[in-house]
Amino acid sequence: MIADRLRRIVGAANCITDPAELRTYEADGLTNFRVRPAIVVLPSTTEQVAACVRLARDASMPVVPRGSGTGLSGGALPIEGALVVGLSRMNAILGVDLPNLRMRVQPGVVNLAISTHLAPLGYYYAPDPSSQSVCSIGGNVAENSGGAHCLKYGFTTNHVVGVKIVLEDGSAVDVGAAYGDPLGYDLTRAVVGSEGMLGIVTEVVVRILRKPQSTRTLFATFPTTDEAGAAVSRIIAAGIVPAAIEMCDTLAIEAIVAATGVDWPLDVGAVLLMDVDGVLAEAAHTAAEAERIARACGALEIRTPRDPAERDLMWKGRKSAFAAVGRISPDYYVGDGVVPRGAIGPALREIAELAARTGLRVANVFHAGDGNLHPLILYDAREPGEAERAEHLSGEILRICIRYGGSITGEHGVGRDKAAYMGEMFGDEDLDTMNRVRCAFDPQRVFNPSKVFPTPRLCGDRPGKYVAHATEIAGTAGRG
Amino acid sequence: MSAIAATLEPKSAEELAGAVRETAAENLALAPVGSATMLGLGNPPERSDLTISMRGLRRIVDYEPEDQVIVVEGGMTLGELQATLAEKRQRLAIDPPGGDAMTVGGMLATNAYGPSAMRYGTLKDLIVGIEIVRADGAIARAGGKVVKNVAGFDVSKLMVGSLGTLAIVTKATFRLHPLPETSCTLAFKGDVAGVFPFVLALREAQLEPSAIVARIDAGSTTIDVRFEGFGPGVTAQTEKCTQIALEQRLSGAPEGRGVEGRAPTLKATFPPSEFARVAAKVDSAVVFPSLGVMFFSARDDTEKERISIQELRTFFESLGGTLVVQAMPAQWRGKVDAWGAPPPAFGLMRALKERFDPARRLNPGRFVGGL
Repeated sequence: MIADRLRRIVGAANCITDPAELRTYEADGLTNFRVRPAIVVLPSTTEQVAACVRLARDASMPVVPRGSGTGLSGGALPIEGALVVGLSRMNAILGVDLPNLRMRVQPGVVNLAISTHLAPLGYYYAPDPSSQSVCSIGGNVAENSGGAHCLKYGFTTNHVVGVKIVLEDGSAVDVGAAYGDPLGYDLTRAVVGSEGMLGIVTEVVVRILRKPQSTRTLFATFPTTDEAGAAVSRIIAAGIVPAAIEMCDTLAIEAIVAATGVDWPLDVGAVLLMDVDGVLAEAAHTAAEAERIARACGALEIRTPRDPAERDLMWKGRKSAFAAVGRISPDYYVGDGVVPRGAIGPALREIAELAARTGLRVANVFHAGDGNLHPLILYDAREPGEAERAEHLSGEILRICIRYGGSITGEHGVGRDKAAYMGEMFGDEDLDTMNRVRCAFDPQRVFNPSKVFPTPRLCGDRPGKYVAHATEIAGTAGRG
Repeated sequence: MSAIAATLEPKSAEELAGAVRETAAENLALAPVGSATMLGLGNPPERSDLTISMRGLRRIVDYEPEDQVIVVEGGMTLGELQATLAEKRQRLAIDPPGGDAMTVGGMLATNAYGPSAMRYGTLKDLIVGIEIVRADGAIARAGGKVVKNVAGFDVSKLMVGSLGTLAIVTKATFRLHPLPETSCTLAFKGDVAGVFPFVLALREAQLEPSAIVARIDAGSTTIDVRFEGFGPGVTAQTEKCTQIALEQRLSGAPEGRGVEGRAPTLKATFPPSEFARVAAKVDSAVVFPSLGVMFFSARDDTEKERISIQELRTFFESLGGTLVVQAMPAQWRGKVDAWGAPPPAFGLMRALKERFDPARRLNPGRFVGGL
């Protein structure tokens, strides 16, 4: 019945109700949670999205937005009886304004497609999640995605200046400002990172950057992660702001080598992969300084790529790390937590001790510059109890992060996966404040309910009675 | 009930929260004030019963130089903060004009920034955590004290630029940057039409200035370009920049000074590529040309000027920009709206205000559309 009406909006080919076809949408990148949605629609315009949202709301169907489905926290995990709105068909680049460094895209545009489009012009889009060749910009907006190079350049929130968003009443509204400061509350900054709970973004205005003159890449190996961590701290203390500093431990190196065939040594405790960029003279100076510090901190071997192809290969190694772990373990869980940079060493030791006690192996790949750890917990789901132990271990790692004053997620989001831990990181009033933001956008909780918050939170009645402002009465300022 | 405006200077978030709760029964309107440098921004508040001086909350709560993160109370001034950070060769990378006297809370409320926003962003890009006292007297936190963190909605950034109408900021956590080893500012003179092409030429050459300021004065323009970093990079960039300036027929000039005379009354935003058209509208102004931000003053405060404000606003809005009254002259009160027409998403803003401050006690009426 509602399916017929949805078909009329998006076309029969773009409305999925067949149980076998729906299976594709049961999960996102966090595959241990699976829920079959009631219906999936693949709209191609803002108007279609809005019409679908209106129908779903009137039918009291929860709405779950979905981009490429690569998220690792269950943000796009369907909810029982939900309408999944897949944005992958909305993948047009709408405009490039090079002089003003702006680009307008639809949410289904793949992250890397922006930089690929701009490459011949000498420009790029900075946030570079490791999944950038498949993840969508709409998904990046939902999760406030980072990436290796966000150490210097910031996250999605620092590079998105405006969005068009479909709200729970089916209206579409432009939020933010393409140039200068947005007037009023900065709603764009609230929408970015809101995990699809405030509305459905159907257009995104991003800030683009001129490519730097020069990028220098440094690959260094160390006896243990302690020496590598010390090198990171000292490089940053020297006033260098690297574009990226990534670390991999022995087990992660083993996986990367097995999966990609890169010639990284297997008998070292840690690999550091670092980019510095900027004008030629600056990059040359900081690269030399970083190399000197790395040697002083006990680097075993330092390599610099001979050409861009070799550099790309080094980065391919790092960026394929999550998938690579599949080569050394039948199952694994991708962790994402943050500790202050100074606590990386002790936190890693605690994780190792905990893993040893649990009887599971943990491979570590992480963004060392900002303390964003990605412990990859290896397990075999066929062994009784192992999946449960892995889940328990991942929770204990998050508690370590909280104890060091860090965060339960640096870039993958809370989603369904970590909602239970929000109450350990935040107090009730903190969660209540976030819920107020949500209720202002979506009082009926149409969008992605049961995510992020540890326990269901209602919005209650609209509090208070609205009092008109003098300018409004005088007609000099409109509203709504 | 309370016709006489009183002042309170709380020494802790708990004391402030208590006062916010206690004054709820009387429905007193609260006006948080830092250094009072930006009180002219926005419309006059509908009512103001209790002024809350934030200067009693001026401590550094937590500073880990190695993590390049600091937790600071809202009443500390930027000058006080930078002095502490300089001891560790660090800084909060923000440089609003006259900013040393501004408090952290005041800068957050007004989203104050300076020309180095082109490299480091605004406080929206530098804030990583916040503690607020809500209108219901609850103390709440968001974010954390690590730079990378996506746990929960980004309430911290939403507070920046909200002019104290959603909550009162008691603490903020910022990402810090190292002080540059070397800094060098070059100054050039040219005509208005040459400014944006110069900015583009620097970008084309892949130079990375940390700030560009243009000062328009009676048809002539001086442009300051600042480079920061390590010696070799700064030297290479200043040489290349000088060469580009020559090619663009700009001549060397002494470095520009701050804004002369009284503080500018107006702030406009516009697409940077429209610089020449925008500059033609003013006699004198300070512009951040790469950001598309201009500060200038109305020539005088006559009725004629008030009308030309409306025309100017229409002009900037037609470019996709804004015109905001930074310091409302007494003569304009009640006649000129400080912000102009509310934006398309105003319904959401109103809903936010209702959720955070349903009784309209925090700076009521001062912000966009009477929020």
